Amino acid sequence: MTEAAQSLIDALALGGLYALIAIGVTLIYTVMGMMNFAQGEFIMLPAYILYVLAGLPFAVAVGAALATGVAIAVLAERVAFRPVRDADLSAQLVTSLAVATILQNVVSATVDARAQSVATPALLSESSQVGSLSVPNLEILTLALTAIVLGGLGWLLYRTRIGLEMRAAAENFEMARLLGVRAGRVIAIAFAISGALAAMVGVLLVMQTGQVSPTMGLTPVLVGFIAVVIGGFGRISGAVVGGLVLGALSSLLSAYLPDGLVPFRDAIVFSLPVAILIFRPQGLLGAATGEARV
Amino acid sequence: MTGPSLRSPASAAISLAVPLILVLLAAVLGASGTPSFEDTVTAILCNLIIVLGLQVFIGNSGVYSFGQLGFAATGAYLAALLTIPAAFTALQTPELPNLIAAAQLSPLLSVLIAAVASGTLAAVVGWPLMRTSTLAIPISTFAFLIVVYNVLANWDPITGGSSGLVSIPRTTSVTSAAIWAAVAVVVAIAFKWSASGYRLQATREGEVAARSIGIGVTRERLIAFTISGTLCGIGGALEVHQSGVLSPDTFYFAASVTTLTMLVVGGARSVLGAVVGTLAVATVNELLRNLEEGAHLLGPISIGETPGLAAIGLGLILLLTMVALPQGLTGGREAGEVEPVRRRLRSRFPSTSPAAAPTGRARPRPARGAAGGLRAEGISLAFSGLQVLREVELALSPGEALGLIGPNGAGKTTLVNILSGFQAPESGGVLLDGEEVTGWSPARLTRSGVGRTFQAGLPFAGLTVVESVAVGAMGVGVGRGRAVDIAVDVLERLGLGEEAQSPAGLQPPGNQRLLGIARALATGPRHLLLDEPAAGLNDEECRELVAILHGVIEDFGCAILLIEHDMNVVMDLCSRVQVLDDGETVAVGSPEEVQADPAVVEAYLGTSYAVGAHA
Amino acid sequence: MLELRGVKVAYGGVEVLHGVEMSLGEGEVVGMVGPNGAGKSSLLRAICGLTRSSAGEIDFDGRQLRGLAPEEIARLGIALVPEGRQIFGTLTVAENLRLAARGGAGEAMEQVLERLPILRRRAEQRADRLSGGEQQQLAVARALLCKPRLLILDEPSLGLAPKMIDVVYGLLEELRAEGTTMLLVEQNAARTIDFCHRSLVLAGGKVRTGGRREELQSNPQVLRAYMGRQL
Repeated sequence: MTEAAQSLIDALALGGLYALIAIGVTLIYTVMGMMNFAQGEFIMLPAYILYVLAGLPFAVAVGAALATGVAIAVLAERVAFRPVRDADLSAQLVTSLAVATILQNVVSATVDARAQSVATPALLSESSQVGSLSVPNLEILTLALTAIVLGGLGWLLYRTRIGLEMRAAAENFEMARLLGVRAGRVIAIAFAISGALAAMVGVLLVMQTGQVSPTMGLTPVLVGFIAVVIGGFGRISGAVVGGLVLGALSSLLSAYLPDGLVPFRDAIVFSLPVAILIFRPQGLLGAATGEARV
Repeated sequence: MTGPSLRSPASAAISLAVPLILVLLAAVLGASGTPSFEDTVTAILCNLIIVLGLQVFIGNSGVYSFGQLGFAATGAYLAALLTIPAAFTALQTPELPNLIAAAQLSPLLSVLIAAVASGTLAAVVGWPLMRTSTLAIPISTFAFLIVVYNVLANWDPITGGSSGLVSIPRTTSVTSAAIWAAVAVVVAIAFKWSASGYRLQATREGEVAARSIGIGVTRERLIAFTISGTLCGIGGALEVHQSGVLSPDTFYFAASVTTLTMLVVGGARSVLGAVVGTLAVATVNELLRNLEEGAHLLGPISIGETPGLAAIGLGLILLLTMVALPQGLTGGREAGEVEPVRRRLRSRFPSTSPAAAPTGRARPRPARGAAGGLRAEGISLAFSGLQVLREVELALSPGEALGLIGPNGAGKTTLVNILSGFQAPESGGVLLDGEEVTGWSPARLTRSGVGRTFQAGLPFAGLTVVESVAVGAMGVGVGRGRAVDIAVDVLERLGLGEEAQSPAGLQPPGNQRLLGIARALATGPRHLLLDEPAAGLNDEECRELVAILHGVIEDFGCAILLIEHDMNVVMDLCSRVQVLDDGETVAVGSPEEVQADPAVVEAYLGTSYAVGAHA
Repeated sequence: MLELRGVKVAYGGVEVLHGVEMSLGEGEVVGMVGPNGAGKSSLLRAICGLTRSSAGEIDFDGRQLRGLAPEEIARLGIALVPEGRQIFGTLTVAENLRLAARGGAGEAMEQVLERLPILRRRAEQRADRLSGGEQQQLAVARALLCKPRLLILDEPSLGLAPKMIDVVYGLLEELRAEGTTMLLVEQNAARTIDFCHRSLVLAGGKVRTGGRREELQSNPQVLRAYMGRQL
């Protein structure tokens, strides 16, 4: 019984982490229609800030990491994505790939191509007693952060002016502009939030693995993409569901997969969503369109 | 010249020769340099094969796959394991099945086996992946790449795990690489110019229009994906026999970005682009790699040691290309299609052989069954809270011209969408020659003789005029040669013969309309649904259009349903007119009857015009 | 207030407007009628900045509109009620209105809700639950909240039942009486010509004819532009 409960919490925590990644990817998708390959680098760079600022108090380093996430996202939008905003989706996708490569290699070149270790604050490597369970503090933190982010995002989107503008823009960008909504502002804010979320994920990943490497963003960004796709494009609720499903799947496989297959956990996790896409191309929550595409 | 063709023989020859010459030059250059330079060139030529593999899929479909290097990896590992001497295999991959472990095949045989294996894998993996939506293919192929990496890096007893394999015989010479590269060039061009290649390019130019001419989008993508996977497998196998070492990282993310950069910088749509891009980017890559060790540039300018400079440089080049030159250095054109060449060729070769008289090759299939005709019965559809169609009936009998008129928003286009399979009704049905065809896909309906045009035209802008029309015939399964004959015939008939070799996207509006009709005609329809073909035409062009459409009915024996707002066209062409207003049929009858019907006048103009309407 | 000179618009190489000339004075209600495909919507999109005109000048009180972003044009005081209404279905009625109000919410909102009580009743409902006519009223209300100097309406009667059309036009009549400057595009020529001080007939990408209400009302040219030479 406790083992099952333990697994459940593990699954939820991982699901929460993946949901955070997926939300970051979705926000950009809803305002730009683009799947952002560079999201992985928005995760990786803040993680490296933790490495670089290892000597400073943890809170300071985390703050700097968050600021970096926001900065790099907004900068990338301004410099790389704005010029291709009106190009077709393939072009935008490849552009984000270029940005990702550049950022990865800049880090490789300036720091090191190999993984580096980062010390985790003692508190986060311990566990706490919750009832009869022993839950890693990091998982508690992840769950708490996910809840806060969801709550905060909900507040932002449904109770603020900018949130209203973002929701309107996500539904019909053109119409929103006709009512005076500034496209540039909405997009920049979407990127900024996305960057902040990515930074959170980066910090959590560092705490979890104790390592940073230039390619650490690759698997998370794929996770984000797949979560968005199985959840149904362009909806935050879909991203959350997608993230939770993937996280739960991954976590449960880790726990219950026969020993020989454990190294292939990622391969299995990433193959299964494709099956969903074949039978439901619009994803689990995607709206089935009854309208013509003509 | 034996007959009409899609391009002049000279243009075709140039397009084929130039990339081959470039490959030859590279090989010669490599062979005459230092051994280490020769190795570099050999590696570049192997890379070229992979880039050509990318071109076959990405260039023709317009869809980005990030997983092709997974096939290169598969080919490479298989070829390596088949050629590593048995003793070494036992050390590195202890659990490899004896059949493979003991094998020490000739490099050529291993490459061939790798080709078959990766091609098969591509077909198997491609089948589910190509069925996902266009937006999901980049993501699912990216997932495939990571899955392959994951398996290769973790299946230690079989693949050697993350440390990879060594002691692979280094048998690829610059000559063999060049030969294989030349083969790949020929395959890529042959595919691009084949019926299947054209059908795939049509899906790139316009998925909706492609479906309307009978093309199965998934099928065409799968074919290209398989060929692409095969070429990538060959490239991987050859490359591994050049370097002698292999690890899961060899064909992973960095290589994916590099090869993609090579393709995009050169121009994804053309084989020449793949070649030019590979050579150009590889050269820059080498230069930057040399600079990584620090260099003294000019006078006081020098750079210190900068590892990773090459990769950053490539990333910047890719970014710059996407922003400033999205179609790449070649603009997506083959050697024989570049402007200066095109101009010189035009003066020396006629574009199409002038047909003495329309040969009528584009004959529609004979009508099946006695209850001929296309019928809609009791069609109703509502969406977004609006009742768009309400129990609408329509009958299009063989050989007739029916006009469908009515104010904007009356539901005319929706009805045509339903008749052509692009939308499904909520109730009611569509019958073709007495057979229930409600819910058939647009492609299936087209292949059964229902053709249509679109209000927006939806031209295949990146193809030439004759290619755009020929692909219509190819869409319903006609072979390339006969498709060209049909296209030329149709173009002559519609007065577009002169424009055959011009890009479809640059045609003036009148011609664009006619092009849409020509494309639909090439599918050999028995029922042709035209959505506002006269929109944007002046009076004279309208008269010509009516004459053409009269000819179409007579010579092709097909029935026409015409949505139009231009009453001149409707009255001149149609024997019967049906008026739709607010989703319902308001009147049906001869043009004169309908024009005089006060209900019709009111629907269009409002009450004060109905009373006392006069010339 | 608004002046167009030689405006041309092309989509993907195909020119749909071949040099449009027109003008609109303050307080005028001008109608634009013409067959489909004539370019009416393209013209409106060009004025509002959604489409870039390839040539010509669009002058709004001395300011050149060509090249400005749609949101900038909106903030200059041009409000568009687009074809098909395009309300934000996933937002509530109130949110649709708040979005347009841009800050000075309170009083202006009250006025609009006074005028259109149906919106007040449905304020907290998702906008996609409204009927066609209610959505059209919402679209107009939303445009009004932008406090526009020029109100442009693209086929407001499209897809509406006759009774609802009457309701919508009732609202437009009030606005006309209050001196709101309006540009009204419709397919129903008679109603439009009857409603507007002045109307233009756009056909084949150019303005073919135009004139004051009385002049046009029994002008056979309008009929010809629509129904062809037989009539």
